[in-house]
Amino acid sequence: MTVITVYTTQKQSDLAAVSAQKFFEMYGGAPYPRYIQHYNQYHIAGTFSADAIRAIAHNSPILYNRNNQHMITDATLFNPEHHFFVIKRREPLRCTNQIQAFRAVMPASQTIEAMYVSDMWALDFSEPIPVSDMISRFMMGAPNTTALFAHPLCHTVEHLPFDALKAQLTGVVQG
Amino acid sequence: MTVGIVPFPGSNCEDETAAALAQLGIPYTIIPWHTTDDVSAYSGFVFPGGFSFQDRIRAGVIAAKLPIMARIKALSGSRPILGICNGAQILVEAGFLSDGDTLDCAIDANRHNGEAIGFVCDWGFLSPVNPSKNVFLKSFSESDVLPVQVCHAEGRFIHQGAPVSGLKYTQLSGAPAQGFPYNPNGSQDNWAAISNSAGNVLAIMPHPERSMDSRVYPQSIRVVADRHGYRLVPFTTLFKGFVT
Repeated sequence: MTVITVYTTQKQSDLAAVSAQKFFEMYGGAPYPRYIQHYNQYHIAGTFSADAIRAIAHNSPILYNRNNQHMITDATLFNPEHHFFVIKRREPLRCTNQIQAFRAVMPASQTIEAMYVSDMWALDFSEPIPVSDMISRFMMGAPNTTALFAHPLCHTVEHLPFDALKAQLTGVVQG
Repeated sequence: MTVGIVPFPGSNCEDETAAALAQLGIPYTIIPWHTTDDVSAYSGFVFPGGFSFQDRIRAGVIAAKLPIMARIKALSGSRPILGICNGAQILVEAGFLSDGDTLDCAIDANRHNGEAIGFVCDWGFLSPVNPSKNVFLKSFSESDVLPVQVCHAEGRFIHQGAPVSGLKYTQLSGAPAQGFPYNPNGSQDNWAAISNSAGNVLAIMPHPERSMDSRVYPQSIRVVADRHGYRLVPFTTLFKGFVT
């Protein structure tokens, strides 16, 4: 089994990220993130050539619309100063349509077994702030907090250090 | 007695909601979401449907965290509060259905067989559960079947613990919904509306304000109900919960 990770993001300002940043600036108290970016994270698992799948993804509209989105497979396109948080669904949603689209253009000897999409948010602060504070103040929702990005019954929040993000993109997990 | 209707940027059902209240002669006022005025004079509140803040991040979550919600929540122990569709999502995200400091109810994306199924726009059927325990449901009985317009992409209730009262998706006969399409979003235990434990708050995902007159039911529903002798109950009296 091979597992690869790719990211997509908007070429122009992501409106959900802009709204979140403005909301935290107005209501979240200091320090608040001065910049937020939103990414979709795709985990693709199966028996395939990682380079071939990345090429298919890059050259097709299966995972992104190249008119207004980037597909990112190069860690140098992320800012290592940002704090990355992955919001995963407790009950993942299957991407059956995308899997079928991949299968239609893959060699018959290769196959995709599973694919899941998660949200990733990148936050930038002008001053240091503990990761635990970022999660409680901005990530995991609760009554009487301003955290927006995750709901405790639906999501988990994972802090993804830049080195781990880089390893995801440069490496291929073989299982 | 005046009910406050609280639309946010992107809400689009405040007129139907106002019409539902007006039909029962209940006075109402539209309250701007950004008001700093005292809202304690209102006898109840209703949050209408729509797409507050364009459903960015998650439906209802931005509106739920705005200052007016904390002010209304501080009054919520003593007043009837109704959230319809996006209004229900806002109430859930603001913790109006939760008793403690954690969220124990969520409304997630519609799903069927593990996949997102997107926006559902259809008619469904609801039956009350423990209607005497919620101020908006007490005029109904558990055997009632209420046709209702379903119109949402994120309507799948998830909850911890058993809700004390609410409405569940059923079949036209009143039999429990057995999956899609009678349960149009994969809601846990077929819940379509959930009450808080005190019984003065109701978050309902389908649209009762559009389902108060049996003349708007599709012909197919009326014909089948007539053929089998099913008695269908309109949603009119739900809004009488504001009068008590």
